[in-house]
Amino acid sequence: MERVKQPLIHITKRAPMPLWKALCIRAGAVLLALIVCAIFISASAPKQKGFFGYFGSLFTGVFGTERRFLLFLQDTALLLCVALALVVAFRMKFWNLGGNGQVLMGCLACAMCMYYLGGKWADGWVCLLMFFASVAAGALWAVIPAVFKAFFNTNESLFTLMMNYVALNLVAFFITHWYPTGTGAMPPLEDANLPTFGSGVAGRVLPVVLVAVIVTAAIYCYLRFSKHGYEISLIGDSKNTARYAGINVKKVVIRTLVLSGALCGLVGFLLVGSINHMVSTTMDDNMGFTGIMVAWMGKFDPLIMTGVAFFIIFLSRGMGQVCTDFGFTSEALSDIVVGLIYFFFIGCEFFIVYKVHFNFRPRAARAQPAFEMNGESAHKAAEGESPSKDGTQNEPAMSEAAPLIAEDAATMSEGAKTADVPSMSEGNPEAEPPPRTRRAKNGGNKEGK
Amino acid sequence: MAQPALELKGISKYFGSVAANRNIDLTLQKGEILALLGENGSGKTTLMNMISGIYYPDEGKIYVDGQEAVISSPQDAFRHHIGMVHQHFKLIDIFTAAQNIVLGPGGKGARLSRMNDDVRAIAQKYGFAIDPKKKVYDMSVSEKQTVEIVKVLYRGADILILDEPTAVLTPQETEKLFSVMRAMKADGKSIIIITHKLHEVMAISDRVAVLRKGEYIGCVDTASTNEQALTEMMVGQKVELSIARPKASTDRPLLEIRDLVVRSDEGSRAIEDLSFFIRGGEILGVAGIAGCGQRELCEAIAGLRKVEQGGIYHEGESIVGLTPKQIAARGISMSFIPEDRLGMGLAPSMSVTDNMMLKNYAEHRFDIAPVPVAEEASPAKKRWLRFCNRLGAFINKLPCPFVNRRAARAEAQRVIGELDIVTPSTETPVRRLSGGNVQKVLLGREILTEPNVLITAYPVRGLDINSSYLIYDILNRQKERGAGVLFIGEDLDVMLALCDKIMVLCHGRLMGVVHAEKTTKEELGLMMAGALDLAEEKGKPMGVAKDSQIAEGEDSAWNA
Repeated sequence: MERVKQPLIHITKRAPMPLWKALCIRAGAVLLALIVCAIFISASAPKQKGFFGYFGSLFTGVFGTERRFLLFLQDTALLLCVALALVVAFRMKFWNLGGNGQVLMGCLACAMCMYYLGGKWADGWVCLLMFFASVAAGALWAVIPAVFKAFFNTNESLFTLMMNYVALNLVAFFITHWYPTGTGAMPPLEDANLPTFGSGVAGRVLPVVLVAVIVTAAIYCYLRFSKHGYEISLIGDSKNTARYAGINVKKVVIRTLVLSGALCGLVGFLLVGSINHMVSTTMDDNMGFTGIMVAWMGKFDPLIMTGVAFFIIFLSRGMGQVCTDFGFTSEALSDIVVGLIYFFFIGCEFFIVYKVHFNFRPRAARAQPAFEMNGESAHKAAEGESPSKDGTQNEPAMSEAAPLIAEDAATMSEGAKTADVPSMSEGNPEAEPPPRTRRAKNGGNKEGK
Repeated sequence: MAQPALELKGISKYFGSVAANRNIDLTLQKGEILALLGENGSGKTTLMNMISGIYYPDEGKIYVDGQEAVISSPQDAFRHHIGMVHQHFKLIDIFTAAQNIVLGPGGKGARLSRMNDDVRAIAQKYGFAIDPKKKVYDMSVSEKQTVEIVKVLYRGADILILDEPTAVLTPQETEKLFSVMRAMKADGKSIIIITHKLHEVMAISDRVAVLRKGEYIGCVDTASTNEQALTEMMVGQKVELSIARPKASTDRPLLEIRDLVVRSDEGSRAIEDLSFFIRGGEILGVAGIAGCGQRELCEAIAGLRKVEQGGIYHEGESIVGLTPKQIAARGISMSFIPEDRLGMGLAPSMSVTDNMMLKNYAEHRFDIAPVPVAEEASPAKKRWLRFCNRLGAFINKLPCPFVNRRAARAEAQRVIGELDIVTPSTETPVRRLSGGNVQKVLLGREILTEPNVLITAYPVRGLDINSSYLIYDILNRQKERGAGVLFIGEDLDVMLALCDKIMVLCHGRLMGVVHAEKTTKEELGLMMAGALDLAEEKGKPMGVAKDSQIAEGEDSAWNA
């Protein structure tokens, strides 16, 4: 008889997983990613510092000195603010990709006030105007796409994205307009700086962190408890239901984007008024896009997003230090590694939702049903579920298939990185279950029929 | 016994922890019509999708003509001569019938002239009425269905699966389909038909297989069973198959529609010159083939769709051009239960609580409870507490930026208790509930406001038998309370039993309003198809109440 061809990989949806298990898988993924990165770095670094030197550098880069730690806090605070600004719109399924542009417009408006009015008005008044100008500029940059979306149903992703470049070039224009000669960089302005708490780095960082804390708490309450927050979720869930409930969808879209842009403008205000005292075209530090990552990885929940923001900034600052310590001259490596870690972290979500089965049917064991690759079976076995009664029966088939599985699971989850296969299956909780427990479950299933 | 055409052994399919199919055995003999019967969610469509290669079974084996077959794609299914006609048609609108039919895997180098002849040949053989050159966008639903069936036959299918083919047809069209099916059977084709209309099962099938909650219950010869027995197999318990119709109180007209014109999303006229009225304490059924203006009519009345022309009057007061909020602000209590429950009436990923406050969240105020003032407290403390209470009462009157989930949760609990909604908690997202419970949440929210006009579009679509009868019961209770109910339905048997009057629409035109007691299914079928026009026949305008609440002169267009 002709051999019956079966699909090799069979993917099914899992039952909802308890929270602790999902967290374990995520933690496992991060750990695994760090190990892979460590191998990658120690294999290719010009300066050797040992396998564990990598982890050391990662931590000293963030917690090594007081200054580093404060800058870590500051970057996290700024990123979190931008991410919160975006999440307000994302909750409504309005994909605001214009965070960069909105931050830059806030920066530009703030710098304009400082440049034209600094020294002419009292500092206090200029600072007040800076605040309102930044917030208004950010809001304006967000509200233009919102109006077009509301009235003409234009694509908001493209529109906000394009607004980024307009903002970028506006900033470039004003810098050359103000300083036609020289390096093209703007020197820090002396007048109308925001007040600091005491001196040094701490004095500058503290207000920024304070603003971030207040914004996080406010946005959390806004989304969770307010009528506006309810309307936003409703529109995100179903526009038709919102209309049915009598909500003016256009109004809510515009109102929400004003808030989203205003928060981005606020970040611009902090960047220029408090931190840099000048403006440059790279001042947004791509936070508008990193913020998208924070929002999605944080599942649109301000509290989880706080954790994610810390994690992302920890990685990027830590990796900077790793590059220095290991003698890499290019920042590109840092980006590769951070990208790799994101890949693992996001990729593991697949294994939280789905279960992957492999159909290996060596001729000897044709009658045997397809077995499962999942954490559940391992977990059940660990809890002391009765071991297989007919375990020996399947022995030859299983021992043949087991090495194949480990390899396949690794290639499944990691894609191209074949060099590190053994270590991956070690850390990946999905690929973990030893052959014995898997068989135990099959045996149980068979028994039940 | 002859080799069966198709045999399933121990088929299972799981979605997460839910077993859509568990250990199903099914046999289809050559040249027979097997009806697959089961309530919604019993796994009929999942099972058929596994035979036609859309899903791959988690366990079990499929045998075609006695040979084990692995069907992991629709192409595999066609290789085994299995073809499925889906409930939602998969046709290309801008192609002709013949082009759609020839399209697909294993094209034999289609030439247009040959193509049309081939299609005509198949149509003639089985008695289809089909014009190969007609474009799909010009076709009626039944014609599209014919194209789907011919497509499957053209590809050489010997086993045909029809997923609820009669749901979109008039009684006459259904009869035509059945005669075609009998012709195919005579030609040796095996057919599985999914349906949940029992009288159709009795009329067409040779054997009936019953599924319940993903499990195979049994298979019986049609000749040796009856509708009551089949229902019991389907539901698992004895069911009373009768709908009560309490006597209608002839109240004055609550809602009057005059010369209404409404456009569809595409801009064509979905409702044309429609006039009718609903009295308090009656259920007015609306019959018509799917998509002939029912949705547009409901949305227009509810204030969600622009009214092109004509008037909508609630107790003589025009509500044309008002938004749902403005209608509510006038003190008119009208409820609309849309057909697309999760797409329009409810927010699927939000909790039951959050869905309860959908209509009234804007009126939420601070809810500060007063502190009890103890008698024996010192005067200073008493004065302070009284001041606090006065302050609280004042704040309660202020506009509040927050929603009051505590009040909404209490409402949710009340509705869950009254309608026996099965849900893990009030905080469960509604999309996780079963179809019947979703509908109960929606209906529960709407009747909580005690509406005097209730518009329901296909309220029992997708519900199991028990839930359906519960919904009929709820509607009857609303009617007895004096509410006017507009019931958009699809099952004529149900409408004949439940409604007091039935209005028939055909392409957005009024075909007539008949008393449910005095009409027959055949008459309704003819009206739905547009063959019988009572509105014209009687020569007088229908749908205008003698004791109209609309003041003379207010509607000059009508009087002129």
